[in-house]
Amino acid sequence: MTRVSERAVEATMLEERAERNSIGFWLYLMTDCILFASLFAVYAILHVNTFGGPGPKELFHPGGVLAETLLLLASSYACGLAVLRARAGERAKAIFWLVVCFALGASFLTLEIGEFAELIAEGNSFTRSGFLSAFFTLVATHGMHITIGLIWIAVMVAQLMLKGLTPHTARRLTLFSLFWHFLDVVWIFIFSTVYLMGVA
Amino acid sequence: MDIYFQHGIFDGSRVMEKESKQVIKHPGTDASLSVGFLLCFILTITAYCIVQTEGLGVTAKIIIIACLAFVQFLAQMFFFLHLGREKKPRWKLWMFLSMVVVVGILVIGSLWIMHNLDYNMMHMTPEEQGAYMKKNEGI
Repeated sequence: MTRVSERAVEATMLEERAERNSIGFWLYLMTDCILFASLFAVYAILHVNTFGGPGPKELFHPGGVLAETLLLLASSYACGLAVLRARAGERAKAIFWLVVCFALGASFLTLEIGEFAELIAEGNSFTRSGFLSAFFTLVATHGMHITIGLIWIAVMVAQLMLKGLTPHTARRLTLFSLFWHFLDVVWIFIFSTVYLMGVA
Repeated sequence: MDIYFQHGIFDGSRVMEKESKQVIKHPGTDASLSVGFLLCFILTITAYCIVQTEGLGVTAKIIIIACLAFVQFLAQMFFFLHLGREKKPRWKLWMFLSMVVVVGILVIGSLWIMHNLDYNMMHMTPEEQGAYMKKNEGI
């Protein structure tokens, strides 16, 4: 009986430590949300100012953006699975799901860069109008976060291979999963307000 | 959040996995993650189909898309980010709520001010706009 209660106390202490570890990172995510909210506000104000150029309806292809959205959602799912496998101590499976997560995220980024390149090639870059400035700023800021996330995954896969599942790599994986899921949440709003409402 | 995992690493030799599982409850499981994924998948496809539907008014489409986005937002916060599933004192939930308040003030406030400015100055020439702003906005 006493051994069980000791374990319970110990578990509670460890749990509190793990919670504390992630709270600082959570606070960063909340401030990042405010950054994105201000860019959303700018887009909401400027999206009508096309300066005689093309608007959302002429420029966006909903089909391609739907593919991007599903890729990012699947990537988020793969990231969640990687954390669960790591939690169960299955390092190989965790690495596998992280690699899947990376591949899906990289496909998302490739599609997005392709879309940007097409817009710029047609003469509709961010200098064209207020609408396009706001669009590029908002979507590229998200894309930049995704790029950083991809680098993070690469580093973590290397660490998991070299160091294995240690408290440090475990903590990083948990924080990364928060970051990656958060980016998917931001993308829902970009998908809905910028693209879907733009072509509605 | 990841205590079972960290626990296993710290004390793998002393504590049997089975026992620590009984002590610590984790919000995330394969099942809840998959439910979240399926739900978000369906919501995304639905929103896309709504946009492609002919015969729906623009306002109706925008309202439906906004509602679907909000539901998916809640689903992701719950199933992927495990919001609201932590123990008291729930720091993350409170930080999240204060972020929502700040974001609300920021977005609604910006739109309100800019709309108001637009409404007051739309019919004016640039010179009149300059004079109006000098007089009313303290610029």
